[in-house]
Amino acid sequence: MRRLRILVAGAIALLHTFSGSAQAALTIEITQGVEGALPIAIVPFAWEGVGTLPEDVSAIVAADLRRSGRFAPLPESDLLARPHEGSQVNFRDWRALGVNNLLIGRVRAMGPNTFVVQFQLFDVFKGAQLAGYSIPTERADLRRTAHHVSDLVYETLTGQRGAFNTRIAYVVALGADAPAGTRYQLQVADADGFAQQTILRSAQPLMSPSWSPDGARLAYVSFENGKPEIFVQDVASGQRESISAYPGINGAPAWSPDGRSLALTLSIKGNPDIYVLDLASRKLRQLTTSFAIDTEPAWSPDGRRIVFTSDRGGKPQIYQVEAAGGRPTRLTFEGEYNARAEYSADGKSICLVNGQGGRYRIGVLDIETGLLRVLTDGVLDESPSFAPNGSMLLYATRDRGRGLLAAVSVDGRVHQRLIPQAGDVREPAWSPFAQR
Amino acid sequence: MNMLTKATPFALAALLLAGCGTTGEVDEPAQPTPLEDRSQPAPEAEAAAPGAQAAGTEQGPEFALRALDDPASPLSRRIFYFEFDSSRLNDRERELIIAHGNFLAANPTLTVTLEGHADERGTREYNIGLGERRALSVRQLLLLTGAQAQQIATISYGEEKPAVLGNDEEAWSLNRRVEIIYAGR
Amino acid sequence: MFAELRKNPRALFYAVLVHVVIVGLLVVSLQWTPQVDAPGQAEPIVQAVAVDEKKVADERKKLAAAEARREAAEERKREQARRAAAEARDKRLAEEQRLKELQAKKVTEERRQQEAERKRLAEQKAEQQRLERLRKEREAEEQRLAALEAERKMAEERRRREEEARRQREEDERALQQQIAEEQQRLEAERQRLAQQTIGQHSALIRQAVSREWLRPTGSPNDLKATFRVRTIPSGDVVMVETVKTSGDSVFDRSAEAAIRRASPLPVARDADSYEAFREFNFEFDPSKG
Repeated sequence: MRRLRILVAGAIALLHTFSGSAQAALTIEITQGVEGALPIAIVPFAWEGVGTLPEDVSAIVAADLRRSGRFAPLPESDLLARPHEGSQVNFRDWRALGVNNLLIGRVRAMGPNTFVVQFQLFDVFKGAQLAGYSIPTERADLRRTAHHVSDLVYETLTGQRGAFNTRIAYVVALGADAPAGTRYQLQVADADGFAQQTILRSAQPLMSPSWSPDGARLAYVSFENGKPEIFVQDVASGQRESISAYPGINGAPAWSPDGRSLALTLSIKGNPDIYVLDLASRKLRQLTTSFAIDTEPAWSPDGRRIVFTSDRGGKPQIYQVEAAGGRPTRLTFEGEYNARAEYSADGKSICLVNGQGGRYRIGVLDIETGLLRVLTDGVLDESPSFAPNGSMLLYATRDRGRGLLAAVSVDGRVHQRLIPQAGDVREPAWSPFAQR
Repeated sequence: MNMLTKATPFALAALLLAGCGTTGEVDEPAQPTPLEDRSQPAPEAEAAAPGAQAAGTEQGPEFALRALDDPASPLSRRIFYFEFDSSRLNDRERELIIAHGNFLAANPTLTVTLEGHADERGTREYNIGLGERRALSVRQLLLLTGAQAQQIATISYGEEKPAVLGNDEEAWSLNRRVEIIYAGR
Repeated sequence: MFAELRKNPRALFYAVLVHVVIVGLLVVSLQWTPQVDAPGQAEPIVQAVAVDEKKVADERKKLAAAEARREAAEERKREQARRAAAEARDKRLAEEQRLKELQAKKVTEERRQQEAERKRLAEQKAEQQRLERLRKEREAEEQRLAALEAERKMAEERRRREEEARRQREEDERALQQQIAEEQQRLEAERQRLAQQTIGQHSALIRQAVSREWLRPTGSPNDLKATFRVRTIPSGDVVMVETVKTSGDSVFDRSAEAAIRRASPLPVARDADSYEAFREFNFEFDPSKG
């Protein structure tokens, strides 16, 4: 009898185990997470050469990743170990630090001016290498190589193309209070604001730099001839030509995505309207015909739509029109002032300057939902420009009456000012991706 | 601002004079200016308004231009101010502009450039449009007063050339302006 | 037929007898059938017709010839009679002989028949004795069989009773088992209910812990969904994470897996019963439901 009972109990237990596994194991649903930066440990790269490392590659990478808002590099003082190769990595230590990823590497001098940058990226929890590269470079390109490393790390970990190895263009006004008067410079720099380079100087205002889709040329407005005129300049060679010098306003040039035309603002008919200039034939096509101020055109990534600023409704607001022509529709309704829009890389949203209560801040508007998110907290923020991967916005802000450049992640979480520099900095424009 | 307030009585007087002198007798300078002044033609002005050169061959313009330097004359006030995001002229500005319009009508050889400006608020290209609109509204009034279209050129600098540095309403109000620049000065 | 014959041996005997008689008569009648002689050559009938002189002469000659022929014929007749007499005598003698023989044969036959009858009677008696013996044997056999049948029936009855008893026993056993099982199930259900409650509480804790550690990739679409199977040890430490269903987005998957590993050790139930549910279980990351 006792044996029987044991048998029965055993059978019941077996039954339960069986039905347990048959009715699918326990499933826990995770529906919410934290919108946060990914913790990453970046170990300073080893320097294998004579003298000092010409550029602190890993520091540049850490700054890049932090600026993107999507990564939270561990402070250097928190690093428990400083491995330089995979065999030295003890994943348990890094797990204890709560970082998801670990970046290690080295810069090796191959000659007086040639180097190899090696790095390995690990998934700390999996204990697996996610990426590993060895990039030969030269002294002059070390910064660019560092940005390239940032791009590779970023792309591996986010699935999106990195935009660190890109450039920005902007205008600097110098000596506004000097007796000699204001001087203007058009400058180009790395996306982090370093490696500045002046490509044009003028005693008269320079405005509205706009990158060609191939990143080789800039269109801009110059008053150097006593009136506004649009030039196109090859960034590398400095060669330039005037492509629009009509009576009245010649402003706000914007390249079409195919690089064949420029949308611009002309006031030949008495008030500013949007025109499309075919660069090959130099033929003009008028796109808008209101009696209001229509300006600041920008093309959608597919080249089929154009947004622009217009005060046809009384106050400046953003309108959208088919690039082929048609009736513009108003996109913005929030705030008394919305201007200078630019499409995101996916064409689904626009960044803009939103004025409410006398403050001008940078916002992102979802075109479909009409939802506007204000990302910055300045008083006179202006000229927002999307990173080519859409992850960040570059814009100009004011600090004690002086313009300087700042970046904000599109989720608005990470704000960063680019390196301070002399003069009043304005109108940043983020270049397209480097050709690869 | 202070200067403007002080200038108001003179402007009113000028307007009265302009109103009586329908034949354009107001070109009589109230106070002669030193002759040395006319020997200094502005090279920029030549470039910006080539039409001025043709007029410059006569003795009249240089002589007439002396009126601009008379602090008692409304013509000495050559900046017109605007409200925010507006090209509407208030009464005081209208009086000043009418004085200049009458002056130009009486001196058809004179040419001017109207420089439109905006304060730093708002976007730069929109402010270019706004500056132009302000310049055009001044031009419109000058034409209504009798000036000829070929006498007037316009340009907008938007917020690129502030008259005053500063980020407060006082600075902004001084930067929202149209400047009338007489060729040859 | 043979069964019938066996049943009635006298009939066989009579049948045999009848056959024997018939066969005997047939043989006798065959021998007795008289020899029917075929009729001899008939004499041609002479036609006397009146004739002329010549014819008379001829006739005379003919008469003479005929006389001669008649003489000869008579002579032949006499001869024939003599021969016939001789033959008849021989025949009578043969017949007598034959009758004598027949008489002898008949005597022999009668004797033989008497002998056969005697023999038959003897056989019949023997047969009757044999049959009697057989009958006795059969009766004995039947008695034996009846005894056997009675015995069998008794055994059957005994077996039936035993079977009945066994069934009853089993029935009781089963009822008891059922009772035991029900009790066990009730206990088990109660245990399960308690375990389920604990599992629910710890699932919530684990959900909370993992959610807190899940750094969702910025800007990743809301419709991504991934399922992972994890294996833990009783301390809650995650010893294995396996992708059951990928979201198709490696970054999303990696963020989810990292969340699980970051949250390790998971706050699993400590009692052995409830812990079982957490030994191996699934995580489904589905922000669209959030």
